[in-house]
Amino acid sequence: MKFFCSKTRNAGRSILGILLVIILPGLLYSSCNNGNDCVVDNVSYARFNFYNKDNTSIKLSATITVTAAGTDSVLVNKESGAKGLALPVSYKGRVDTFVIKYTDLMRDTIFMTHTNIPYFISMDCGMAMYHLVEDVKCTHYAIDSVKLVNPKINFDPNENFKIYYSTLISE
Amino acid sequence: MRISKYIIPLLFLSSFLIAALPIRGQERKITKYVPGKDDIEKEKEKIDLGPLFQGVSAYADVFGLVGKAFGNNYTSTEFGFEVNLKNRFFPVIETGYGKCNYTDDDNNIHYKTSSTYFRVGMNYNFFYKKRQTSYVYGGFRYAYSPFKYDVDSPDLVDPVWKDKIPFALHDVKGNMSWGELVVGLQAKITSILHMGWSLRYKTRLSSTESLNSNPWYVPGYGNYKKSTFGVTYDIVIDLPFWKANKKSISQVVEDVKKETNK
Repeated sequence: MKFFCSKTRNAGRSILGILLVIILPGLLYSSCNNGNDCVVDNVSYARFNFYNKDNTSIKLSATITVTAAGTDSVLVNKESGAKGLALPVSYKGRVDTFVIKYTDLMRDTIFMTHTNIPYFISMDCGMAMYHLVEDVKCTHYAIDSVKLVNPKINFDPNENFKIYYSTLISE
Repeated sequence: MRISKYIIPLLFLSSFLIAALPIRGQERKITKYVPGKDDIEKEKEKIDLGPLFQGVSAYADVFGLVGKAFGNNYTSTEFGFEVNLKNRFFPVIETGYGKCNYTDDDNNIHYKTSSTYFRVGMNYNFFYKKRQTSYVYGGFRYAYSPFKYDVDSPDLVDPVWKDKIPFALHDVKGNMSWGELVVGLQAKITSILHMGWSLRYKTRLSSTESLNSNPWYVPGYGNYKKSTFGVTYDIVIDLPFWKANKKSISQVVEDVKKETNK
């Protein structure tokens, strides 16, 4: 009986030792790898996806160029077959105006009202500017309507807006 | 007739009583009880573990003070008390003070915080049956830290519209609770002095976040991740409130023999 108890005790300690050897490195690995992965450019984008009236994702048949009022930068340059847009948001302004050109004469304008939230991520990843959308309006040359889906604009690649197009320029 | 009704049952019952009494001149042979090896071992084990309460120790961590030499961007100091129960269970209470005042060379962001933190928990001595005061232990802690922090950063520059936005946060309040799994060992240096180290796996349980930031360093926890590791190196002193009156093995055997020979 004593021999059996001694064997059981030793086996128990061996199992405990094995568990510690297996579990501790696993915990060490997970704690070393669960820090925030930094975004390369620390820029958050407003994400628009294109849909038809049946709420089906579409590609635009037109080649589009997107610019922003108040800047000379071209945000999207002659992209064909676009399924959506990822547009930067101004850090200081409250209303951003995006112009989507389909041709020299055909264009739509999106007006996005937002607040700006400067954010400290970490010493490794630095600072970022997040945004909270309050309202969105648009012209209706080719766009039927714009719907706000997620008002939080940050590094998450989630959809913020659905743009519903008429059949004029959708494939 | 009435009396006879009771006499016969009484006589019958009393016969059992008489049979139980020792009869003079006839002594029952009493076998002397000699404790076997198992009985002695059981008594030794019972007395080896000693009484429930076996003392209180105070300890201080020195690794947090020299952590900067090992690449940490913060320092901390902590001390605690542990109660020795049967040399097996050690309830502990710990408190400490951590601070960070650091500027990153790459992005020039400055982070500053300082605060106290608290822990309660228990250690378990894996070698409690051995009659020694050095031990290997495992344990757990529940910890909490209320803190404030400052973050100062160079202006944020809009990459498209080129606007510059200043950024400075001061006295941002936060608090965090976390759990710890601890393994460690403690070795006896002198009669009252021990030294030892512990390795701690820490995992965040709850925390507050502000609109404009996460904390970067939390006193007592470390970098603000879901989980992290920590190390302590402890100087331990047994407090002279109570000393265990532990008998030697040979004294235990003698005591058992004396009891059985009585």
